Amino acid sequence: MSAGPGDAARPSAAIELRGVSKRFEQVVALDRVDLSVRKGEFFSLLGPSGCGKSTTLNLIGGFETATSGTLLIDGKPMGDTPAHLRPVNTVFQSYALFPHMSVIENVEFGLRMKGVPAPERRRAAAEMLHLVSLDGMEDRRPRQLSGGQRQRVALARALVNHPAVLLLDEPLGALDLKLRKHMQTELSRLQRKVGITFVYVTHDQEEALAMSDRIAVMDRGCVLQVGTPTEIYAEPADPFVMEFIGSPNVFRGRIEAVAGGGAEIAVDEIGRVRGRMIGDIRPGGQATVMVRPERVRLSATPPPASASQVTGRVAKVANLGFITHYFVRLSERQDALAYRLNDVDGGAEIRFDEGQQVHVWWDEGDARVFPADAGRSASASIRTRACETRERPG
Amino acid sequence: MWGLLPLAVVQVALFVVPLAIMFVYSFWTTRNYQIVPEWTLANYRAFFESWTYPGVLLRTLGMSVVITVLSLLMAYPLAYFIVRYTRRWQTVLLAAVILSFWTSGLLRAYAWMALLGHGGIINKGLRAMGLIEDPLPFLVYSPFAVVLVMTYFSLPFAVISIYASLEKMDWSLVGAASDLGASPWRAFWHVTLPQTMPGVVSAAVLTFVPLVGMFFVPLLVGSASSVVIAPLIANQMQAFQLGLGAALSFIVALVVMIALAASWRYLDLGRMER
Repeated sequence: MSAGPGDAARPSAAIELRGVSKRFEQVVALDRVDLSVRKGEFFSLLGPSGCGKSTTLNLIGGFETATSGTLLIDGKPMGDTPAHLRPVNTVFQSYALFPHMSVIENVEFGLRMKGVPAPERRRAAAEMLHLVSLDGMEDRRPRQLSGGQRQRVALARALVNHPAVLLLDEPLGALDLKLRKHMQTELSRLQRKVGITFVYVTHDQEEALAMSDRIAVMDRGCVLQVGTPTEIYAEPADPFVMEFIGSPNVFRGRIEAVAGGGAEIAVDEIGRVRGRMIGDIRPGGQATVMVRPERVRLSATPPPASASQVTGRVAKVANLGFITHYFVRLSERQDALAYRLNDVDGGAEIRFDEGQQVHVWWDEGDARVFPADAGRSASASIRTRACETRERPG
Repeated sequence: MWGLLPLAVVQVALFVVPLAIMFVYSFWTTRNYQIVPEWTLANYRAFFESWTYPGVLLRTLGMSVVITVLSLLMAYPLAYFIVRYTRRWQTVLLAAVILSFWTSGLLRAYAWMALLGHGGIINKGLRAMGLIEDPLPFLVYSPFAVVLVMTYFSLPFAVISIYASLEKMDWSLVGAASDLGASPWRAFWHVTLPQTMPGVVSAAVLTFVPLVGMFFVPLLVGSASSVVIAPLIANQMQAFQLGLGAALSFIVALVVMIALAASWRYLDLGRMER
């Protein structure tokens, strides 16, 4: 990697992290993360709490300094550039609106710091408030607003500066479910309208899937997979990614046979199941098989011989209106979960009752087989990088 | 509401009644060193007749303002430092600030005289180093000495009150300000200071009000050019000029109440904004 002038800016990248690590005393919060966020995209950092997503955001915003590695915003290395000189703005989880200022004064603040003359910045702020549907709220104080309105003020206050990148730190976390769904649509619409790159931090997989162009799934300071929502959901490269997104059925067992991209796994007390191999699978080793509930089929008669199948007794049927959840007891220790869409026409769909014996099966291509130690390393070729090489802090 | 009754009784007994007595006395006549219930405006006329009393009152107020401002200017950075940059030492530092309350003010004033006096440590030290021949004239028995010692007396009140508001400060607001392009100084000016203004105002009130009544420090370390109003009132009382003394007291009380009223609005407003 030369430091020539031509190398400095890969023009499509709004943000680039090259081998960025962050350590807090004994804890490694980020472990040599490589990430590239394209200009104009809605990019989500998704993961459980403590996975490093907020740390990543704080590094980009300039609120934390990386222990090592390089961060580029708009092709420029940020180094020790303090927060107030970075071309990014943030929507904070708590919104952090200034309580002693009116709504319009809050929105104007960034432009005021830039030295934009009062009439001009007032106009820009009013326009932005219009964009987030807060006309007429200009002179209110933040404490007079509802949670959703405060959220919009925070958005307007950041967007009015036309940042190269807008950072959003779980901005919908404090809202109730209905408002949250509404704001998801609203945020996507707004992002398309202003065309600003969004980097969105969330632990809510549904939120990330619904809004993002691309998602980076993170765990324990590592980026496990980067991809479109479809890729992340349909082609998880890592068992953690698969388990974190959706609620797949998980079987653990010994690898019995391997053939043509598929593997057969013996699971204690249940039987043999099959799936597509992800990573380095060899007979005799331990493996984890995952299959999503909507891929699991139930039938009263035996399935085709090619399919993976086990049998069980329907333990619980939960009808959620448009969908029915079947919990099938396979063994003392394990249930299988299957989703069936409730057929609008009625009749055609076969239903099962609690207590009924059923065949539980899926096509080989619908299940994924990961090596048991794949938590961290096996599918490194697909994943952004291997994480088990994490250093012990000295 | 009725729960406030004891408080109201105490307030009436200890504040309203004495003030009312003072108010009435100020309109009575003093004859043969006795206050007699004959209504008169002579006491107030005496106040405005010569420049002496208004002059002393104005000087008292002026010095109080200067000392208040100095206290705030010193207390704010100190409180800020304690809140922002100390963790384990926070309690110790605060205790150190409060510690001075444990000793009598008179004792501390004498201690300052030992420092500032003509034979005090500073003058002796400077002479020993050959920097001066004669004691520095302004160190003691001067307005400078009064301001210095009174600032020292006021500082803890100011620090504690400002500390309380800085302690409650939501620092994510400062993060938001810097995110929006404010340098640390501008973030302080536009966010931290306005957010902690209630603490600053209450610190100003807490220092200013007692200062108007400052008594023994000006007597001990002051000079003729730093005579303040409280000793003057005491003089009147001791000279059995109860009517004049009452009128002076009432004027001072009025000034203090005006200052309180002016800050009240701000204090209340500050509370509402939170």
